[in-house]
Amino acid sequence: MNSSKITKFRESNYLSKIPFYLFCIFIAWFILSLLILPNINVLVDIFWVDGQLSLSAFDRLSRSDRAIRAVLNSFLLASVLTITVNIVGTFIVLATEYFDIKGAKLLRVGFMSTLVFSGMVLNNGYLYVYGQNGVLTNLLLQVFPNMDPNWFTGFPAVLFVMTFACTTNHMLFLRNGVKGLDNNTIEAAKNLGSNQWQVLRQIVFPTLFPVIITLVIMSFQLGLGAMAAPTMVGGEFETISPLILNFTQRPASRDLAALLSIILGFAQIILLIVMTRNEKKGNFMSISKTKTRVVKQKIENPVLNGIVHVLAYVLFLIYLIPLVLVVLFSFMNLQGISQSILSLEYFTLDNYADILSNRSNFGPLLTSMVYSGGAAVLAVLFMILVARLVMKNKKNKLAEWTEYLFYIPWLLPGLMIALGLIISYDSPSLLLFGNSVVGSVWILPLIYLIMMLPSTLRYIKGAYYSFDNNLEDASRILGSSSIRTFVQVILPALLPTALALVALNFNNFLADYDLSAFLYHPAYPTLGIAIRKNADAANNVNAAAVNLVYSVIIMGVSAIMFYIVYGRGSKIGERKSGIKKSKKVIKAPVIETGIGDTGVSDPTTGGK
Amino acid sequence: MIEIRDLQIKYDDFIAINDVNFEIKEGEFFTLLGPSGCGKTTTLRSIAGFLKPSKGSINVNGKNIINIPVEKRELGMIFQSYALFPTMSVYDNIAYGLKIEKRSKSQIQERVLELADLVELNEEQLQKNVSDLSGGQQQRVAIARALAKKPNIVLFDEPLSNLDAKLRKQLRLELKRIQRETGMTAIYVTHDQDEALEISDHIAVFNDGKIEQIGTPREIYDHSATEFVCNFIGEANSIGSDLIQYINDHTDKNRFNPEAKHYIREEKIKLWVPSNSQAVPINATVVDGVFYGTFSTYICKALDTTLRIIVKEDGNTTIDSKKELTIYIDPKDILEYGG
Amino acid sequence: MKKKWLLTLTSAMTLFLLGACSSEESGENTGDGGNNDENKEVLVYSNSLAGGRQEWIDEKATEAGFDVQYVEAGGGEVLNRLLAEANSPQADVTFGMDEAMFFELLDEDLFVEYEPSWVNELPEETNIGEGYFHPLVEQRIFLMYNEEFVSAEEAPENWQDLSDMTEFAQKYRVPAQLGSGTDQKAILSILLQYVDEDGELGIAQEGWDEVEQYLANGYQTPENEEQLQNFADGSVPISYHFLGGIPAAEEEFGFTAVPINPEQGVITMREQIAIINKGEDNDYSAAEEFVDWFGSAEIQSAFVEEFGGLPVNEIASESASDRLLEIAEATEPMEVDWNFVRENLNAWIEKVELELMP
Repeated sequence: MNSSKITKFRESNYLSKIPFYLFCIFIAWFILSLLILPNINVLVDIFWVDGQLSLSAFDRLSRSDRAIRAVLNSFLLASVLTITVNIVGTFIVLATEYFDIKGAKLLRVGFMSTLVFSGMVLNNGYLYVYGQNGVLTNLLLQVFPNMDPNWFTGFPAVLFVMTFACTTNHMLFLRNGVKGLDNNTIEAAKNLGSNQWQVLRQIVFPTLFPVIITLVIMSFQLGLGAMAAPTMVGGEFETISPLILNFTQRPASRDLAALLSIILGFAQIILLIVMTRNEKKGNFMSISKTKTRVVKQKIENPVLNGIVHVLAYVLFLIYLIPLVLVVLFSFMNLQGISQSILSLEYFTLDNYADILSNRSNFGPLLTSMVYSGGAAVLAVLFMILVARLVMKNKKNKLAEWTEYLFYIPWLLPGLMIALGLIISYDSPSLLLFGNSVVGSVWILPLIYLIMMLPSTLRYIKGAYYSFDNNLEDASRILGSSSIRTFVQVILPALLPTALALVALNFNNFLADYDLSAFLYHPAYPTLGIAIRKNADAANNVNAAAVNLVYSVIIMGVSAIMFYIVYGRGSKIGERKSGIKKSKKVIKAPVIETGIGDTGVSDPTTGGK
Repeated sequence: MIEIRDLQIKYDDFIAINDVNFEIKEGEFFTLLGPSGCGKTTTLRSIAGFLKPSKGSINVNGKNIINIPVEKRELGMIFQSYALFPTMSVYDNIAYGLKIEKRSKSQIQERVLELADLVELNEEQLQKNVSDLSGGQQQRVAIARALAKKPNIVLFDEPLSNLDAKLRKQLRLELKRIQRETGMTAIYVTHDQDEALEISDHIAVFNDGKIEQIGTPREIYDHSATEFVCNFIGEANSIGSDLIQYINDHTDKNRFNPEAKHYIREEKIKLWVPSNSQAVPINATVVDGVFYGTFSTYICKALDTTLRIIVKEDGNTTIDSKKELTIYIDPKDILEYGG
Repeated sequence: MKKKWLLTLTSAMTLFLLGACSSEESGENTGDGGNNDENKEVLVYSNSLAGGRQEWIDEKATEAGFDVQYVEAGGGEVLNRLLAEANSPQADVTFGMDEAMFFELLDEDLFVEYEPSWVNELPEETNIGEGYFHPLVEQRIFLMYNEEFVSAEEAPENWQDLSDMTEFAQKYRVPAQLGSGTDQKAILSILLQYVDEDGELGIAQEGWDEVEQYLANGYQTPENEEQLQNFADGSVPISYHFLGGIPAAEEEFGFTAVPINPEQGVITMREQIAIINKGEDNDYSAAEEFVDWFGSAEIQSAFVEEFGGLPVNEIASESASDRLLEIAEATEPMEVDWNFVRENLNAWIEKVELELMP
């Protein structure tokens, strides 16, 4: 008991260690049999052809201008996106939380819409505005009759859409950062003669710097993994992720997919290391113990004030009009939809009636909700425990590696991870306690869970930084066991983040098709399968209408989920964890670092 | 009551504290004082049980407790950051430890109200969320929470360092009062020497993972055992070699080693002395002075030494800059280190 | 506190539901095996269940005493899934897809030999599955033009002609992706005219060049546009389509398509049906009965009357719609060595995707 190794773990009760050891064994089992083994098997399966290593994928890729261009495009997009997303994201956060803008609550709703309005559906919405027959295009054509109606395409279009679509993280995390600012520091700076711009530049931004760095990295990753926008509005501007999906689906081309995916994965891991460094440098946002809440700043210069107001509302329209159009078009018949004309003449309720009257559509919805909801809850609980282990043993190499191993799902596309599981466990295996994954109900939620792990771990780890380590010590010294401390003190403090993550994860996988098609149990088809069945263009000319209706339904379900779990939850959570008013913690209030959902690791909502 | 023997704590290969030995009697207010990173908090946390010593023993009432888990040690602890549970109300925070003991509701309520009374929180505040309280009030909650189970020993980890100066002074006195009223043994970590001098029965001065000196506040102040302690506690003037030589020349014996370092506390330099005094008169020039109301400070130059002296204001003395005057240094007040 | 309960509750519920699902499943497994004649259980994998087909089949099958479960997905996905599960097959029967995919599955020893009762009703040359799989529905993929905007004289005679026709530059549809079978067939229509043993991947360089030029000169439909709408309004008046989809598309978008029948004919593929090999001990009687029932002239007739399509079954083909028969008359099936296609298809598609697509 005297060795220094044990001091690291800081636990000194034999009894309380039994669950701890059990959990360690569980983690080791999970990593070995669900993360490492299947992925090694799938890589061997792909790269070992006829008993020897085949690296022809390198050769085939390097001969393809298209693939190389796609890789370069992805990096270009990521770089430029980093700048634009952060400008827009910072602006909308300041406009709703920092400056005194009239109607900020309304604006916030608009800017937050990307939480539920994302992926293919969002791009579809943008096309109703800017596309060939879009509202804006028609207006512009009246002014400039010679304009190309297909103007909204290529890199600028992708950049435009993604600039607005990817500010979700800003609204979640930068917003918390701004709310956590200490008003006293702002007042102090003013008192020293700073004008508003100087306060912003010299006080506010430096304070938010760690969050902003995290967001920069997250934007970069979103750009790298871009999936929906390049497919929908990219035209000739192609990026990596759609190629990966394409190649994954054809067995003979899987080595290409794996190679491309590993390129993306490594970029992610490098960013991750940068981010971890950034975290280690410190999250000391404020040392004030009696923090006062930020008072919204009225912009003194009336001209500037006007400009900011106008800008805020223009952005609001950019955010909201596509969403509104998607909802409206879901009530149009096929003529209206295919010609992008909104008219009472085309109004119909049949689209909804078709889907809602068919009872067989509800089963898949329920299945998907249970699968992605269950996976989301379990992934978050699991990662809370793992993150706690990692955070408590920061200097332990083993713990550090444990953390990195949980990022494995970033390295390969979901479909390949699924394939790995099937290859490894297509017959009952001892590692799965005599179970086999083929034909089981739980393989699909299991894959969802695995795919959710990396980003969940990132976010949870960030949340651990945000509260006082002494809380745990305080509870222990009052006589509480480790487990009780965890349940009564740590879990409640993490709750706002945990709930937000449950909601985000849930939304990401609610409408999954690619993994479902591969793995779903015949008795429990998922929502993605049902959508494809009803909205397959080859079989149903009405496909576009059906897709729209499903999009609206999914947005509705997501919005409800967010409201129940996050909207109300975070208000309670915020109040309880004291984010709003005074602060008791030295560490940053909320530096939630995480890596956003990329097209690679998460299937895009509403795809297909 | 508490006996620390040969305590050593390592973080990986880094030895945070080494050879720490001290004893604390029951009902004593014992302070661990030192600059940041000196090992005082590490020592405290090992007593609490958060850190496991790599060597040595911690005996409480004759029993070594190093293998007893944190939650079984029955200590109270108050943290620098208060560490109040943000998801619970003030009442629930205070009641937390009692609930773990599975006391009855009425017992808990009785005890919480009693504690609220002790730390001067009112009933309305009890129902609030901890984040709705001011810093000082939060610290009161933290104290009440730590005392709830009537621990015999309470550990304080820089509990006042996050408060403003006035509140700090006020709470300092209250802490002392509460300690006396409850009869608990307090182990108190601070880097603030004024706080340590004011509040403690005994002080252990830490530096670089070791204890430099243990003693009552007066012993530590008047007879600082090391140069570090001398400098860390209170203000001391360093005496240059010329001035020491001068003092040696003007005393009976050659009592000071010119190779050693010498200090004298500001208030020990006198402007006049009784006629039977052993003090050595020295000519000095006033360079600067500041008036503080009840006292003034002057910067004087004497030979190779700049001295800061404190003079109690009686309304009669006025000393101008550039004025020549005679100061008196009693050799017994000079602290000598090394040599 | 409330929130915590919410979380606990959700977790508990999830575990419960997952538990419930798996226990339900294990219950099913015990009843599996198809020994029960009253309730012939069949698990079907198919890409041909969308658009109400599954419900229709299910209703008829229940009447016929089957208890059918379905896995429905796109053709590629069904193929992938069958291949992935090769070591412990789940499905009893699969139907749909095309010959190349069935040959690929046959390669993996995934089928058992079976002669359905309706085999004699098939034209002999169509039944190429070596006794393991049998055709159900015929599909032709052909080039077509909209007669409202293109006259017979202006129209191209063959796929590769399009690459040189400046008047149709960017006005004929080319595949934007090669995921779907129909899109792949457009490429095959050109490649298969240039088969050359010495060429790269069995295709002469000329063939590759033609594909590249064909793709470069044509119009790739962006994700947001409806290709049939483009075809109907004349912005892209030359396109390709699969036979079965024509009547519905013509009705919905209001156009009349004229098929082009090149000298080599049009690619004709047939959806197949086969029984999955689940080992020697497995009882195949329910699966066999299902194949007999589903492929029968009676069911196939009723099926195409409901959903359109051209049954291979000669008796059932009389039920096909007039419009389909009309187009079928106007085109001739191309001779395709499906085994050769199956061996090379993936490599061809990959090469086109990587090197030839604009």
